[in-house]
Amino acid sequence: MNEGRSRPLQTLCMLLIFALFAASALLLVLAAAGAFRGVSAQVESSGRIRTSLAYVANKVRAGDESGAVALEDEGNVRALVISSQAGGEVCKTYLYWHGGYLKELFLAADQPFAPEDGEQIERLSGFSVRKAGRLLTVTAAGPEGETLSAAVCLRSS
Amino acid sequence: MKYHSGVRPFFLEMIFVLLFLAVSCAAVLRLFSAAHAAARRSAELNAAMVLAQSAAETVQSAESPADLDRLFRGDRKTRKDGAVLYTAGFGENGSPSAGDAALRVEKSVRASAAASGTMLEAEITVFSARDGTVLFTLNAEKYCPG
Amino acid sequence: MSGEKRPFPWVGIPSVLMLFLVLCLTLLGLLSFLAARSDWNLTRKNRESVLAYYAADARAQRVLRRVDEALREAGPGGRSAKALDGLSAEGVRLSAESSGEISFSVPAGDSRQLEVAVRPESAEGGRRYRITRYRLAAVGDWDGDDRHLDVWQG
Repeated sequence: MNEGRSRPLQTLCMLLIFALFAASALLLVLAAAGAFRGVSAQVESSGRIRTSLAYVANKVRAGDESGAVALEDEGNVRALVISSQAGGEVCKTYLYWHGGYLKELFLAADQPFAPEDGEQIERLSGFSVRKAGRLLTVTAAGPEGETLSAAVCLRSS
Repeated sequence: MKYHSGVRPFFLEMIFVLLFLAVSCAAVLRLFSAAHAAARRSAELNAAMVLAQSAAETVQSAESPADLDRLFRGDRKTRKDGAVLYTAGFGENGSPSAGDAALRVEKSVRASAAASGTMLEAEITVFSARDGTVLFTLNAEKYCPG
Repeated sequence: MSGEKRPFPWVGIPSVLMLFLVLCLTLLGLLSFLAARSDWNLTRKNRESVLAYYAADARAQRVLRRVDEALREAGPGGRSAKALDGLSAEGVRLSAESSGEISFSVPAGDSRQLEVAVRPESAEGGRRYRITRYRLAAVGDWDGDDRHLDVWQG
């Protein structure tokens, strides 16, 4: 008689314990996934800004010659323009922000600038370059809005 | 009296499972904390390198030693061991910080006069404002013709 | 009278669930750790690259000081690239170019070098030289064009 009453009770207890265990397991996996997402986001965000600033700085350093680096306003796009010689022809490398991306466009000097033709370098929520004398200040903004600025000095005069 | 045949094994199993899970979680937690520490260390060093390079490039833009006061006008200026020390605070991600700074950049600049000009020697050190540890050190030199 | 012993159906399931859980947690933990570690390795490489660049930059500045001293000693009438051709400073050899500029290169790590060129100026009382080139360049030519790429021909 007792056996008949206690069996469903035992089953209910075990079911409850198992449900608790399953719920805890699910929460644990979700927490771990959240931690992984956090680490990945941090790595990706810092990498994105760092890559953009280092890319632009190295481009400027690679093209540092007298009068070769300038800031130009092409329509409503402000671009960092680095002039160089390629195959006896004067060419220009445009670095600018357009459509949510840091873009680069390499053109012959007589070709018109079209910002949509540029190659996407990195996805950024903002990018700007300021020039004060020989000092260029490059600012990049990541997807969360965090910004970082780097200075590059033109050694040539 | 008949006992249910599966009750004790189930509880025994649950006990062992929870024990094993506890040990595994302790090990996995170490992995996550190591990952988090590595990511934070990397982000700190990256921000420190960008700040140090910016300071070095600013020194490079000086036309004369007197220019440094203008270029670092927002910094706290002191003197130490014959060198001029410019100190500025920055946030965790390298953005300028007026209040609680996470990073501190010290630029120690020494000017050596020569017959033809002046050599500026800058030692740029980025510290963690939290515990004072050195994150990155960079030496830069700039020749200013006289 | 005999009782029936029915096996409890839930035995074994918690173990399976636990195994799956430990597998998921370990995988996520490993992925996080590997992502963070590879980012740290990249940061360290970047650090070495930055230090190498500024060491080369400092050396180039010292060479410029030596060039300026030589130009000052030569006087306004004697400031020419030819006068400094072959001069050695800071372990770097100066070369006179046909354009009238003095050039030199300073290694900046394994695969890069700083290429500097200055043009002597003979104006009295002004600067003795002007830097016309201070470029970070790759060492050696890129030979990627010679590689055969196995592309699908359709």
